[in-house]
Amino acid sequence: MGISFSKWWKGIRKGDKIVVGFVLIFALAGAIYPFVWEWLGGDPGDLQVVINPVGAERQKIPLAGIPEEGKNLIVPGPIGDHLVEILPDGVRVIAPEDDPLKICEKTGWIRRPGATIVCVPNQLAIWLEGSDDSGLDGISE
Amino acid sequence: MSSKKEEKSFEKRRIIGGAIAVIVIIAALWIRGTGPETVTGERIQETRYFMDTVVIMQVLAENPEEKAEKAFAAMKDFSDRADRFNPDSEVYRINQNAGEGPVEIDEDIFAIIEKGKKLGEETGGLFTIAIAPLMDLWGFGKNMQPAVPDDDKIQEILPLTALEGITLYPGINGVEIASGMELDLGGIAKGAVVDHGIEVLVSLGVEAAFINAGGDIRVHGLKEDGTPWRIGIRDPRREDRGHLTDYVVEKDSGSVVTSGDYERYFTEDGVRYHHILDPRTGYPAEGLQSVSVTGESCVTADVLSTAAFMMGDEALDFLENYPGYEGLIVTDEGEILTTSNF
Repeated sequence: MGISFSKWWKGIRKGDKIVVGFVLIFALAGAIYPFVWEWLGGDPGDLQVVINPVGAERQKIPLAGIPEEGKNLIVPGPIGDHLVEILPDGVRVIAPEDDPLKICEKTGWIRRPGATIVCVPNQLAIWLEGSDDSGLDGISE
Repeated sequence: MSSKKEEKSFEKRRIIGGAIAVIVIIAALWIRGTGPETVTGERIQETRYFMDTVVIMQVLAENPEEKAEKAFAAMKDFSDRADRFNPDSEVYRINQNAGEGPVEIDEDIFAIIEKGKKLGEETGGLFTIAIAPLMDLWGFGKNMQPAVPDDDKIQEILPLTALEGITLYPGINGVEIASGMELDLGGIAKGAVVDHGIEVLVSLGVEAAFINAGGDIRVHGLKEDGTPWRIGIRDPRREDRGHLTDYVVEKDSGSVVTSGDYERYFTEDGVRYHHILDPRTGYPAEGLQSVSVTGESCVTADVLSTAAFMMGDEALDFLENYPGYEGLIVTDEGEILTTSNF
C-alpha cells in the first residue's frame, strides 16, 4: 500500500479535489460553529418560560420571541402583584412589597432549563423548559 | 503504456478510497446499533407545582404520560396529608391534639414520622420533626414576617423541639406529642414524597425515572442510551445558580439532596439569618454554606444533609461514618470537602 498524500493528491481528478475541498470546509465550519455562535451571544433556541400561578392557567412564552429590550408581565397573587421581567436569555421576578421573605426576588435571573423561581406566599412558580446543553439532568440545590 | 499503468494505479486508489468509505459507514452504523436493545418506551418530562416547590419528573416507559400522572397524583396526596398547614392533614390533627393522648393516623404518614424520629435520634436530635414552634418564632412559617426573636423566647421554646416529647404507638399507628409541641415534616416530607413517587413509578413498571423536587433528586434505571443520570451540585455562592463544575454525580439508582443557607433567609441589621435552625441553640446553624448527600433513599439523604449542615467541622466525619451515604460540604470559607467515596 503505502501511498503518500502528495502522490494521492496528484493522482486524483480536479473534480474530486473540489469535492474534498468542500468536505474540509464544511467540517471546519461545523467544528467552529458552536464557538462562533456563543461568541455572537448564543441562541435562546427552544427555551421557554412557564408561568404557573396556582389555580390559574399556565402561560408558556418562548424566549426566541422576546425583543432585546425585554418584556414585562404583571402576575397577580393573593398578597399582591409580581413583576415578571423576561429577556431573550432569561427571566426574573420582582416580588410585591408585602412578600415577607421575597425568596422569588432573591433567586435573581434564571437562564438554564430546569431552573425555577418559587413565590411561596403568593403561590406562583416560574421555570424554564427546553433542551439543555449542560450535559446535566438536574442540579441538587 | 505508461498512461495505461497510471490509469490502473488511479483506479486502484479509487477502489481503496471507496472501500474505506464503505467500512467507515458500516462501522458508524454498527456503533449506533450497540445501544441498549431493551428500551421500548419513550422518555417524557412533566413539571408541576406543589409542596411549595417545582417538581420535575422524567419517565421512560410505554405510556409515560399516564404513569407520570399517577405518580404525581400519589405524591400530591401524600404531601397534602403531611402538610401541617393543611387543616385536613394527618399532621394538622396531631398538632391540634397536642397533650391530649395519641392520635391514630394513616400508616404511610405514621411510617414517615417514625422514620423522622429514628433518623433524628441518629443525629443526636440535630434533626427534629418537632421544629415547628421554633420556625414560627423566627417567622419562617408559612406567610409570616421573619424577624430575630428575643433570646428569652427562644430559650423558652427550645424544650418543645425535643424528640423525647413524641411518643409513638406502632400497633395503632398512633402519635402523641406533649402539650405546646407541634410537628413540622418540612425537613423530611420532600424527600419522602420523592421516594414515594419513585416507588409508584417502579410499581408501574417504568424503565427509568427521574424526580427533582426543588433540588431533592432521586433516579431509577438508566436512560434510553444506556447512560446514567448526571446530577450537578449547586455552587452556594454562584449568583447564576450554577453548579460546582468539578463535582457531577452519575447515578442509575439513588438520591442526591443538598441543604444550603441560600434559599430562605432574611437580613436584619446587616446580618443574614437563614432558615436552618439549630435546636441546640435556637439560632441559624453556622460554619457551612451547603451540604450535599448521596445515597439510596431520598428521605434519609434529606435528613442527613440538614443534620450535617448543623455540625460544622464535624459534618464530614459524621457522613463518612454513616453507612451507605456520602457527602460533599462547602465551608463558610468556600472550601469543598468530600467523604472518601463521594
